[in-house]
Amino acid sequence: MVATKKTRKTTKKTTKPKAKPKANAPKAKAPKAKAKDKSHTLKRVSHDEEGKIELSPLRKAPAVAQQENVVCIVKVRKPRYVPDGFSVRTWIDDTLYTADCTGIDLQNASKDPNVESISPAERVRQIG
Amino acid sequence: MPQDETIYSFTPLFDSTRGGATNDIDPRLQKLIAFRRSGMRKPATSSTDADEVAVLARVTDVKAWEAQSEVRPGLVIGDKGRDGTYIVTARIPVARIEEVRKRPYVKSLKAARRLSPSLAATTKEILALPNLLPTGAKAPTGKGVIVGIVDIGCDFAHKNFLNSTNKTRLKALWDQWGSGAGSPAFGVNYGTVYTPAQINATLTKTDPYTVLGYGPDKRGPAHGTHVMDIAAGNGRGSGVRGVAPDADLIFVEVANSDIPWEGPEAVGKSFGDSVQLLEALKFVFDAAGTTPCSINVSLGTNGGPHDGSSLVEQGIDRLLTQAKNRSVCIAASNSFADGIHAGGTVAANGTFDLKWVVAPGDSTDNELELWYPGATRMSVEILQPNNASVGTVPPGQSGTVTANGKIILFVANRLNDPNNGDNMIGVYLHPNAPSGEWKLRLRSLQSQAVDFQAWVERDDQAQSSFAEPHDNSRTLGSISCGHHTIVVGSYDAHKPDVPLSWFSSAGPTRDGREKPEVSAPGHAVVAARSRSKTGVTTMSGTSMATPAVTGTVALMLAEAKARNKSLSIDQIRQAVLSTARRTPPPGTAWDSRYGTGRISAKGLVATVIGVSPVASKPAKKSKKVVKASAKKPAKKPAKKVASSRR
Repeated sequence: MVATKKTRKTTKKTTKPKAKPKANAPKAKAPKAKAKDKSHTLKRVSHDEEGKIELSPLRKAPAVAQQENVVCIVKVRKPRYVPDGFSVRTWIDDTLYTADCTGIDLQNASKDPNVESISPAERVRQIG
Repeated sequence: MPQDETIYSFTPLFDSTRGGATNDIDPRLQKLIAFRRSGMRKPATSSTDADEVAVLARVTDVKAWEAQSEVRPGLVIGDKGRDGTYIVTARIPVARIEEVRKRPYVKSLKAARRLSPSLAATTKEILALPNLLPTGAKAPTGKGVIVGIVDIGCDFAHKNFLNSTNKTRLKALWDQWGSGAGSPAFGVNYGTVYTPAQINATLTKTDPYTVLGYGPDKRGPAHGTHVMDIAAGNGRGSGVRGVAPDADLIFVEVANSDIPWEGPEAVGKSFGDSVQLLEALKFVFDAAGTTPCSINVSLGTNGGPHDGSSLVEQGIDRLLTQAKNRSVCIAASNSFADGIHAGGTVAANGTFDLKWVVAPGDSTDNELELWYPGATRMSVEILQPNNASVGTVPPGQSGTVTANGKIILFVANRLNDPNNGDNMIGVYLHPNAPSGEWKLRLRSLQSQAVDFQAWVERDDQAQSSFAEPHDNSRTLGSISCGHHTIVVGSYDAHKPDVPLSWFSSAGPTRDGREKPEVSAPGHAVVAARSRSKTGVTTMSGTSMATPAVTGTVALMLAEAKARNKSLSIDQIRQAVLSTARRTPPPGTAWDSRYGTGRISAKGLVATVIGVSPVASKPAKKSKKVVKASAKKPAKKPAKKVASSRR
């Protein structure tokens, strides 16, 4: 609940590794961040390595390679296949499940032929 | 016709021999006078004392009006009218109505009317009351099925969710925020799952929420409570029932695995995430077991591919096809008038400037997604509000703009999305990015025109939008484009023509499928107010329309169960589509906002019984029929009406 979010964070306890409380883009370093900072000039990088990862949420996209916990939905080609580093949370069926992993695991899975696609958690709000 | 031998006598209210007033008084006030004279007392309400009535008056002298000792002044509405009078509100004693009305400066005196009387407006309009369902219906109240609610804020102590022995109707309540370690029995390993026994043990306590360790937000009416009441409240508290009042209930308080704990986005927000939403749906279906189950989801955002290919939508679709007697109804969204969609065509080897407006003072993140066919190629150049270019991103690349070491802009031109093969351009703006009109200069890199569709992500605090004129088509929510879900638009059941709600999002999906499938009353819906035990509140939105359909599907599933029939999701969807009522929407074609038409509980139940579905009728005629045949849905009046705008 909104009123107690901060309180709940301190008491939240799960048997699964959870994502960091906050992983907004502003806290993430840009790829090749060692280059000289030049305001309002685009620094480009190929993101082919993200080929199996849904890009949304955009605010997290630059940080996807970081050493952070990621909660995601995984679709695999081989039944019951779980990539290295992934911990299944809930099986939807044999080829689709929710999982915990790290940013590095996510990167590695994007090159895994048994993985079809991965979708990091995305916010859903009350429609009202 | 049986003979009635009772002798009735007529007593004039205004008798010249008694020196009373004339009958030039609002009939509703006359009724109160008559009741008082017969010894009946008017009870107190939230705004009036006992034997006091709220009135609207038209007066020529406000000071004199307010100076009357009988008058408890309220408001002066607007300025002096052309006829020299003012409209004022007040509370006056019933005993003084006649005297007040006789004052020379009082030109008119009317009792206040109740607006949006109750949830009955929904249940009547969709033909869900037992007397409106087909004759011979065996489960007209939804007995034997489960209504699942995945939402935020369940008031398990509201009497509308208790049975006749004051025990909970909830079969399970999973609080994903809970500090427990889940429940092996329910197959979840985080949050807290509350059983009926645990809930029942709290119901006699002064503060059941603290005792249980879970409760709806104290600061305002809970969305989830209101939604659950529309779908399946039994009216034992509010006096007015929802669509499937005898269904069993399962509620999941959906949480977010990654939310900002600080900053503007953490304020006043209630949201879950796609992963835990999917886990919630799986939980409800698992907990229901073989019991037919209709789940409501009134959650969503604006982004996504809008073709049903996102993994969360694929996951929901898979859950729906794994077993019979399951459905998921999802709100279409409330973004029709927000300017969040744009579509267009970039000419072969040409450019197209897509304008994106961020208002001054917007201190929130802003995001945009643009989708174009996988077989085509475009570059995107980003121009700041001062028209300075920050650079161009060719296909297959992404880029960032930093200021003072922080990313203020991220843009990706991503090829071959893993789920649909299409290309997507995404742009993220940090709150520190300049406000104003940004431009995305799209350039076709081939001798072929490129079609695109784009969406601005939802932002409840400061919604950015595309520049006008807006294309309000395809404004469905991010998870409202699945292949097996039932997506619901909203209209206003309080008006004779049942017009569309101004906010109700439009289809179709990006891949041209006809969603929303159906529409239901979602405008000014009065339903349970959390932390009130018996009270109600008013909310509007496709969130309020969707549970009307969820409850209606529950009635259908209950009827099927009573007749030992099983229904696949395809059969359920087909029945929803084939029995939807027209006029409105006009004509026979699918409407981008009403969908195939207005939901009909009578029609859905009839398809199970095997009789002909209800014929389409114009709304006005249909409502007259309903009024003529409808009985009062509840004995008790709704209590303590509050109102909130959602």
